[in-house]
Amino acid sequence: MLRVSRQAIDVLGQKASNLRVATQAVDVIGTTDPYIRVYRLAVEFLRSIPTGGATHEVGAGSSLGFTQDTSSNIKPASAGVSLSFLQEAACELVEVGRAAGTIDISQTATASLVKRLHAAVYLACGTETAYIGPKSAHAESLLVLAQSTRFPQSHELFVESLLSVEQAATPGGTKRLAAASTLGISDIADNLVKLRAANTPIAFTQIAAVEKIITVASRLEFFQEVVLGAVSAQAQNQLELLQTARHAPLPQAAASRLDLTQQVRQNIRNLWASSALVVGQSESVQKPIRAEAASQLFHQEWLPDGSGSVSLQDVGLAQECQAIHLGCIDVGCVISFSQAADPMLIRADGTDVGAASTLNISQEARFVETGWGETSLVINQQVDVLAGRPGNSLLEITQEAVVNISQGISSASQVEIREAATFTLNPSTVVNQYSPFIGASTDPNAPTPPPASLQGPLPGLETPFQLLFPTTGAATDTLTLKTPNLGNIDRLSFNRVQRETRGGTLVIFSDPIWPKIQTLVLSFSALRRDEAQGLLTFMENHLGQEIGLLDWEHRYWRGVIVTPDEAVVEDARGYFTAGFEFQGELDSTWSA
Amino acid sequence: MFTLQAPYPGLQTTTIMPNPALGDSENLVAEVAKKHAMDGTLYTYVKRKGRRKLQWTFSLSRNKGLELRAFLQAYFASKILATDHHGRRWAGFFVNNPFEFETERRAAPAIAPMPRGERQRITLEFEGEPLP
Repeated sequence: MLRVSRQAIDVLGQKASNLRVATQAVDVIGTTDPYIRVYRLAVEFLRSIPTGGATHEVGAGSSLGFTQDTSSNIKPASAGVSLSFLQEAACELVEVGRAAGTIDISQTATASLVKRLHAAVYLACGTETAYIGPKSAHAESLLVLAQSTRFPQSHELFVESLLSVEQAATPGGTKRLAAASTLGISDIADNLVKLRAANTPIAFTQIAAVEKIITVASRLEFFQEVVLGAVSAQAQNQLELLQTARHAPLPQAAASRLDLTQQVRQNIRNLWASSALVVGQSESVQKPIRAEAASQLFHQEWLPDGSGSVSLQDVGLAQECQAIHLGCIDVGCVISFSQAADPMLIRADGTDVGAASTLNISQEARFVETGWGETSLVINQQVDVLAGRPGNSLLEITQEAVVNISQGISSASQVEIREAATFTLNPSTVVNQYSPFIGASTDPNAPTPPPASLQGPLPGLETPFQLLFPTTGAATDTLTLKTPNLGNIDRLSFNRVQRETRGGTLVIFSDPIWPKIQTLVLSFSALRRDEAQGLLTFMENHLGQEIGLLDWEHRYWRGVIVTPDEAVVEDARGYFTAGFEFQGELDSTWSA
Repeated sequence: MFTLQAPYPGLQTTTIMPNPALGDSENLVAEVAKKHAMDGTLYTYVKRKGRRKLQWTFSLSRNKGLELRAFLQAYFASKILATDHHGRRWAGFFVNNPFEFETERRAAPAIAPMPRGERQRITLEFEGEPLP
């Protein structure tokens, strides 16, 4: 219980410097409630910092709301609205904490019935939600923007709507983490002005690069629309996309999905509309181990449905690449798509309407390891004419297949090395000797070298010159003459072919089995009559027969007298000269 | 000194002979065909063969003659390397056929094992290319 009292103190005097005499009276006014209420009005909040003293189940919340309105309706006037604020919510040292920041902004700038108007809306928001904590944290940042600029019924109008958004969600340093960044933008620019070009360029670059995590997902959705309601205007819609899916050399999967919807609508005359789609997609796999990459690309196009109207249809590109283990890598890249370029159903007074559809395709299958790859391209081209115009469909395909054939072709080159050697010893002492220097040769086709030793006279023979018949066994007919005259000829003649090529090269050839003819040309002088007659009788008796001849060097020949018709001439009284030619060969084995 | 070696280029046999007798000859193996045009212009057409024809006459002892005879019997169809008495090297063939060894005179003493000492003469015709 609380008592309220009033206390009064009367100071009677002061005796010493430090002593006062006083009377004190306490009046009890009454009792109060056990609670105390304190009130204060006219609160102006400039900054709110909520604090929580307890560490268990503490929540801190801060909300800020205000409305600002500025309107200007004078000429020439400018209306500007500037809004900037900073909101911060921080939680520290909690186990289960939740920090959420919500910003709702609604801003409107309206200008009506004025000329040369410039309306600009600049909205810059920076929202950052950071969480610092180890366990079970949830960080969420939500930004919702709605911005619109309207200029009805004005001339020479410049409309610009610039929206810049930067959003990032960054988790820090934990396992089992998922990161998702979703950006949704709705941008509509309605242009109802004549003779004005409307451009809505949108450039997106979205990259999801993940290292050492399991799943990477990158999803980009946007919707862009350009609507023209004026005559003689140009609508241009350009979209550039670059999507990259990278695979790290670890068992993981990367998926990249891109959904886009693009439409261009024109309802004016003399219109030229172009829709260019440039897609660049690259996918490289280096030494993949069970890596899988899937990329899906869909876009929508206004296509005629055959009933005289057009409808939005899905046209998809599907590309899929799989890389299996190194030992057996099959990478397939199949692209199938359909593209149609078709002029819309136009009015009877419409002229010069054309539609062009350009599609550039680049397909490549690249292999790092030895593998098998196949690329197939299927193209369907179709031209549908709805309103009495000729339709031409020209499809030109150039395909080139270069095959490097590897055949098991072997080549062999055999080299034969032959060697030969000869020598010379004391050459000055052998000019009169039978001394051939015979070396060695490994050439199997080399001629037989001459005998190393002289085929000399037979031993035990004393006869100067003798003709014998037969050549073997005991002789039954013999003729002994004196030695022939000097000037006898030992003739060697061979069968060989001698030719000269067109280039002037001399070629001589002889087969080893071709005969080698040896001829002795002999003449005898000063023969007595009986010797001359005996020679004629011997030649007549053994004409054409093989006879034996013992020459003056005591060597035995075996052969035939080939000139039996040579004359025997008595050139001196009682002395005759005779001669003949004997063809034969030496026989070193004969013995008397 | 005159050397004959065969077969060329795998030389296996060497025969050493004395220098040939004076009267050896050397000439080109080339042909010239001449044509006269109607206006009197002389045109010549040549055939160059790169070879030369040499003729040597040797006077040999009976023993050396028998060695040369055996050499010719073995290599009459083979290419021969001849080193002449001037030291020039020729690679070619003996083109005369037959080869005639004429015993022209006696030449004592006899060289064993031949019983008589004699001198033989032979003329060789050689067509070949000079070697560096």
